[in-house]
Amino acid sequence: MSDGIAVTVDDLGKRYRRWPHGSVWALRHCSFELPAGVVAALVGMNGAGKTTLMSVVTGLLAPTEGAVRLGDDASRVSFVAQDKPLYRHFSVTDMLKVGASLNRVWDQRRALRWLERFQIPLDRPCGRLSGGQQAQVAFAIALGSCPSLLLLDEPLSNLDPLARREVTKELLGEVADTGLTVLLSTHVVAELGGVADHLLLLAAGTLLEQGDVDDLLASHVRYVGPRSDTSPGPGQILQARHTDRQSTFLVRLASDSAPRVDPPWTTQTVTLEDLVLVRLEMARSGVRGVAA
Amino acid sequence: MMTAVRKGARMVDLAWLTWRQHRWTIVVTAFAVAGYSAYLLVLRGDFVQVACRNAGSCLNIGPAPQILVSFLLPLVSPVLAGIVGLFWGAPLLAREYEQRTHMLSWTQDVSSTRWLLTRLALLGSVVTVLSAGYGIAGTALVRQIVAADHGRGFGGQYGPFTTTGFELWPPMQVVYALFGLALGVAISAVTRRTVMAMGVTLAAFIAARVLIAVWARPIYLPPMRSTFPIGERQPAFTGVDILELRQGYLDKAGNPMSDAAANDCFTSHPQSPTISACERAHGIDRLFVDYQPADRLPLFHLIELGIFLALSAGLLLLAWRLVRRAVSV
Repeated sequence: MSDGIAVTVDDLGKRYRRWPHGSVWALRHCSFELPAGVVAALVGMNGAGKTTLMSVVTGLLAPTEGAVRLGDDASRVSFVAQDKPLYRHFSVTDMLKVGASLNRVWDQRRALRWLERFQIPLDRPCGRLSGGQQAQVAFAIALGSCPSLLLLDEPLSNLDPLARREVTKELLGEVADTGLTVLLSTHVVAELGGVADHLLLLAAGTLLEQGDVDDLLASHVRYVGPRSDTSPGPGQILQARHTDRQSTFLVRLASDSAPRVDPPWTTQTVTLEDLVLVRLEMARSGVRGVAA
Repeated sequence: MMTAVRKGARMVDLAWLTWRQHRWTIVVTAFAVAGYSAYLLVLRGDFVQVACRNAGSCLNIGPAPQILVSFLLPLVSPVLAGIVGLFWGAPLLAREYEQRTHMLSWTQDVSSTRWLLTRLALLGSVVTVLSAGYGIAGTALVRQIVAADHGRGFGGQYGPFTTTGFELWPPMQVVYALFGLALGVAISAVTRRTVMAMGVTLAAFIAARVLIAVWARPIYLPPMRSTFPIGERQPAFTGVDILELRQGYLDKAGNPMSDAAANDCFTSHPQSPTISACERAHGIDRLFVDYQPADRLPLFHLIELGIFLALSAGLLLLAWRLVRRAVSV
């Protein structure tokens, strides 16, 4: 909706002290920008630092180094924590009142609309709702506070497959309607197809990959052809796989270079899931940076 | 899209949330305190001077006031502040951390520190009213007991410097209760576990109160010493209005002596004139009494108020610093 920047993260680092001695960097040298109005996926394995990054951006944790700057269009931040905490003895109606009480701006109709869509009973205590229903209440509160930046930590983890699709669809609707910027974390890469238009890939507290998903996919290609030890086309090899008769190379292309290969080689497009998995495998086997 | 937008995060909104979360604790405590205070005031009417028997009590009271003055009053008097610490203070932050709801409450427009400070102010006001009312009722009762039974029987148990008499003074009750709240909140910020916070709060509260009452209070100021010749009856100042610390014997140079010699004389010479001669033969010259005089009572109250206010302020600062670590951007 806007061309502005929703949030700028500059050389962010978070160190946890481990009593009685020592400390652990959960996040280090993390820099990125999120354009306003995107749905950004923060992807990483468990323990990669996703929750730490979100907590720092939200303001729940003070960073050890670096800074978070919110854009002019994104002064309102809403955060839904991974376990979707609610006051167990409060009815859903009272939970909405909590949201109204703790925010300078509150849109009750927007919150109620979300709950109606998912048929959440308003008079029931939150502790007696199912995990999926509790997640819906948490989303409703987050949306009711009219955020311009919405941070969702593992938003779909408590939901059944049908609800996942519904929630994703409704969230994208909110983005389209209001120009909301969403940063959602997940370790389930398969959930991302058609949802995220921006990727932040995190491993062991460091950003491996970031940027517009379309650009990232356009700059990667897979060559498939007869068994060969060398790549048939341009680009830096990220992954090479060989069977007895066939070789595939996943390469990163330099900007604007068209992947040209001679028959019998063919090119295949790369999916976001392919790219994420390859980069995570590389990180695990110790290959750190990849020159663009 | 924004038609239904309303403004929140005002004081009245935070007051609603505080009430909604703490209403049962507040209601139960308020009923218990009001009921007990009313009971004290009703029983106060029973403490009327009838006829003083020699050395005995001047009161003729029924079984309920009897239980009250000999057992209930000293036992129950310090409880309110402990309850505030245990059930109001200790869960205040620990339950939020435990159920992770701090991640909800402190990521809205209201900062974590404002959330904490308004909550403390609101609950602190309620605690102040409750403990002041309780202190007023309790003080009215013990003053009546002392007036009706002055210097004798029950009156001696509840003089202004006795533990119960000293501590029921309304401002003292208020400060103890606020200290309990601050202690519970600080411990809950450190432990982040409700049950553990309640246990530690109870232990720390009892320890702080007992240590200060037993060891610190008698020596807020250096005690005064009165001496008088042996063989004389003790003077009248050893009444209910002073805080007597110590009695003993002095030699001619004015140095305190052990009680052993006097005890020997007491057992070997049952007749009072000969006791004195025996004591003199053992080098005992005078008797002494160390005490805090009655006119120091207001000063002692102020000193103890200051100690507990300072402790409370330190504890609240600790809680505030721990909660502030969650800085809002």
